[in-house]
Amino acid sequence: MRHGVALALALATATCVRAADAQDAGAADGGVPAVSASAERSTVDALASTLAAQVANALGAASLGEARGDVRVETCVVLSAAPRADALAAALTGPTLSALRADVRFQSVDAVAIDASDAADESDAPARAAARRGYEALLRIVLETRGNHLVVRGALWRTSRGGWRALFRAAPARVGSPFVRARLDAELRLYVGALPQVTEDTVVARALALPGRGYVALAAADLDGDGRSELVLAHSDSVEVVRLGSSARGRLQLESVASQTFAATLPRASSRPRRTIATAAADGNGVLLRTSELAAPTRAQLVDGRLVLSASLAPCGQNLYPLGDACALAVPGHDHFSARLGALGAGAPRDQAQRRSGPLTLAGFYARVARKLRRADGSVLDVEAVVTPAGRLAVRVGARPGGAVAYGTALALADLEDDGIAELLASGPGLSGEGDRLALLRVRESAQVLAVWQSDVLAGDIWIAASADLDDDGLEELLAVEEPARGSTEPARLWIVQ
Amino acid sequence: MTAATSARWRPRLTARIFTMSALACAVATLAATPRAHGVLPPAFGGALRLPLAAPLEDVDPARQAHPLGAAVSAAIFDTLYAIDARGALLPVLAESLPVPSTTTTGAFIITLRSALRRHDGQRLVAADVVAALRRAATMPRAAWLLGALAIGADGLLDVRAVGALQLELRPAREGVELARVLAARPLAIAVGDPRRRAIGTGAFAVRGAVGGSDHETVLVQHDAATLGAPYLERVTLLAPRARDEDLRALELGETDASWFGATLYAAPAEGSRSAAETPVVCPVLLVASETGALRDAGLRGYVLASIDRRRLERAGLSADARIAGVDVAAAPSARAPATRPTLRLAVPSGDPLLARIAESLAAMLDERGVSVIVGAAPAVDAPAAGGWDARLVSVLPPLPGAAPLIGAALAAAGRADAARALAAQLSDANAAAEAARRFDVVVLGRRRDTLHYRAALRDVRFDAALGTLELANIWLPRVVLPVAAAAVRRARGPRR
Repeated sequence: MRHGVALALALATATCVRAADAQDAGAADGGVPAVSASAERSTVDALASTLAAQVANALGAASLGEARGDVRVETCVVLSAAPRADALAAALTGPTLSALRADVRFQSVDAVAIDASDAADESDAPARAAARRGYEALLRIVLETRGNHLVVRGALWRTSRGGWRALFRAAPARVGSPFVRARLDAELRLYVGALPQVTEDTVVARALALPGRGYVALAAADLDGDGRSELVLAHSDSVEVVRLGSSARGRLQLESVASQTFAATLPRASSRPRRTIATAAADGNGVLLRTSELAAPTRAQLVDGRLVLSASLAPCGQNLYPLGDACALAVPGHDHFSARLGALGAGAPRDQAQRRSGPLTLAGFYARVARKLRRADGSVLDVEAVVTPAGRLAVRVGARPGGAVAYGTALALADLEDDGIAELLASGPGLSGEGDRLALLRVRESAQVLAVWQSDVLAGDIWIAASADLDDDGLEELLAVEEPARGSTEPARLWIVQ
Repeated sequence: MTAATSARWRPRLTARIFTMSALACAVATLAATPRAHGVLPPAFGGALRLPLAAPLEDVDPARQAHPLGAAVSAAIFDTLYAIDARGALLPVLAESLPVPSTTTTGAFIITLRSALRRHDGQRLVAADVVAALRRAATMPRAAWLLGALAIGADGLLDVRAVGALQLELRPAREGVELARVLAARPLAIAVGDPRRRAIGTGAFAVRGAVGGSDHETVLVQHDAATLGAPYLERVTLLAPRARDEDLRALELGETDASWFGATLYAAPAEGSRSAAETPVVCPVLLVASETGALRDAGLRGYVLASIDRRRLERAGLSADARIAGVDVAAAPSARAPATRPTLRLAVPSGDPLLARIAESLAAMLDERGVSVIVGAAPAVDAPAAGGWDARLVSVLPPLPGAAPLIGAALAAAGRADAARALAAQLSDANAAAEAARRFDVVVLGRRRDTLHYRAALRDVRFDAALGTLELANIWLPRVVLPVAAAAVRRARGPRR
């Protein structure tokens, strides 16, 4: 019950945040509303430079007059209990202030901190006040958290104090609304405070009924562009799209969005393994997927609310399976993949993806996950894990190998607490029909695998897993599909672990 | 302890400490390793040594009369279509169900999947399929099924390749379910002459000759199998042996299964054994010759009335006087013949079950005043007329359902025309029942065997509808498989 309430609250919050975000994004001046980490630069740098670029764009579009005036930059930090809020504000606004100071249109730039209670003031009163103080422009920047996102929003005002009318009454004009947000990853968490680490007592796991059964792959992506992720589930002969919703009584449920069978025109594979295997990976506003029944990958996307499945040779070509960061090659006739990976992009040599580090295991794999995790110091750590056909979980953190034995084919990776430490969701190694268990594991930087939580024995079988932020609270969830036991008429269930 | 002694012991002590530390670390690691219960698919690898219940002369799908021979054949050759457990048709070698031809009236086009790999590494093309179907048309156990297809002006089966991957064929009449007919096991696609060299597209490829050295037949995993590689890397089919030899080999670990029993002794077997019962679907018939003594309906009825089914059960048959649940025409008669007749009974050679049944029949008929002379007949197909009064025939269902089984029984009994007529209506239960009512044959019962095998073997199952062992599904648990060396070898690629 506690789990249900927790998820319901998360969903409600996500809905409010989404509405607010949509407002903000609509007001933004063509800047990039969301920033994600990359290996090249830290999240803070990415946020700060995006903010500076948006302010520069807004100033470029605004006609500020010929005379060199002063600009006032007010920063409001709404981060309760953040241990290093001021440092974060300084890091985020630094490039903007530098750019303003370098701007020849301004004589001086005054940066001031304002009280958090003024954050909600969207009127032109602050701009009028700035005009009275003799400023040519006012930039207000508000730093706040929404869910697990850091939001930096602002308002750029031209105070219009120069005209003769301004002698009697200033008429400020809003010339820009910078907006940028980023997930609170380990680097940002260093400033705003860390989340408590997930333990056996705090794991929230809930199962929701899926529309069907016999799923072979799943992946999440924002297919309809509403800012929330849809879940794409592949069968051997069709694809379904569902999203997280709530019933009239407020209970969480999965809502069917669309479904489609693979068209007869899509080329079928000449030989298939005895067990259908498949991979699925988010690709922009679609999902790339391939089942062993088909001869080539397929792209699933929503077009006017209709699910369209079309052959897609990019980025893995005809013979490979998309994994997101690489392409996998199925061992002919077998139900697992070859150890060596192919690189993304047509024509790239097969082993390019692993040229630097080599394959994690020579035995091939049933499932593979890989992620670049942001650490608190801003650096990025490569985490990779596979389940081998022998049921061994092999992990690699940076260059350090590690692992554990006795695991099943389902494997998903996420950083649940955004602390730069990977969590894995794995299934068990028994036989189909003997009951399965979900296990939450933590992979330390030393590549040591620790058990965090284990579910009760489930009646069904778990073959596939994935990670996604289904409720759009900024925190990833680990997902797994439990296929019903043989003889059962029940549909499959989606496990959400967070 | 002297200084010299201490110096000699020091390295040993160090080694012992090191070993114990390593052991302790391993135990600690194992204890700390998170474990779970759940699902892993079957592993690939391992080998099976399976003794045959009857000699395997060849693996030609159109000539199999024994369920194990049919199982071996099914593991080597694929059909164009298959019927799943729910009765639905599935394309196997074909890409989809037959579609009407746009150029030839009444004809249908079947398109093969592209890039199908034969066991010899070549691509399977439509010409291979056409040749295989035309060859099957000359085989009595398969030809009746092709009664569902039209005959061309040249007197041959009206089937031709119209492209590299497309073949055109014409049904004998409207309403024929072509895909259902082509799903029949005797119509599996064998490239060339399978009695000389077995080349198919199935899960296993034959290495060497069938019944080659030491009368063994070796099947090896075919990676590019249409329905996926089998789990086992190798299956060695061993020539049938005497009961004691067979059981001893099982107990000594030389084989993995036996058709005779779990142990040579009354005591429980060392190491656990499992047993799988064959589904009782394959009828054994007593077919009367049209020119022999049994053409007399009175004697035929007396022979039928004299059969003690409980004794046949002890010989290895299940007591069921029907075919696929349908009563046949033969009727018993209690009137004994005036003089002691003598029946010449032909028994296919090489089938131990049929030999036991023949012995049992001879004994029980002798007690009722009918002398029986048992003679060996060619194992496959009907012997030429004359020289025998009755023969034992084992029937294999080519497809699930009553009509295919009755059709196969008619064909095996030499009623080719009736069988061909039934081939065009394989889904019609009424037509099957009508054909059975006119079928004057004695159904002795249905084959019933038990395969005893090592408990480590998993998914040792028989097809419930066809009664054949599903060799491609058998697998071994990871703990008994050798270290995944094969997988590593495969990952590294060919050695240079």
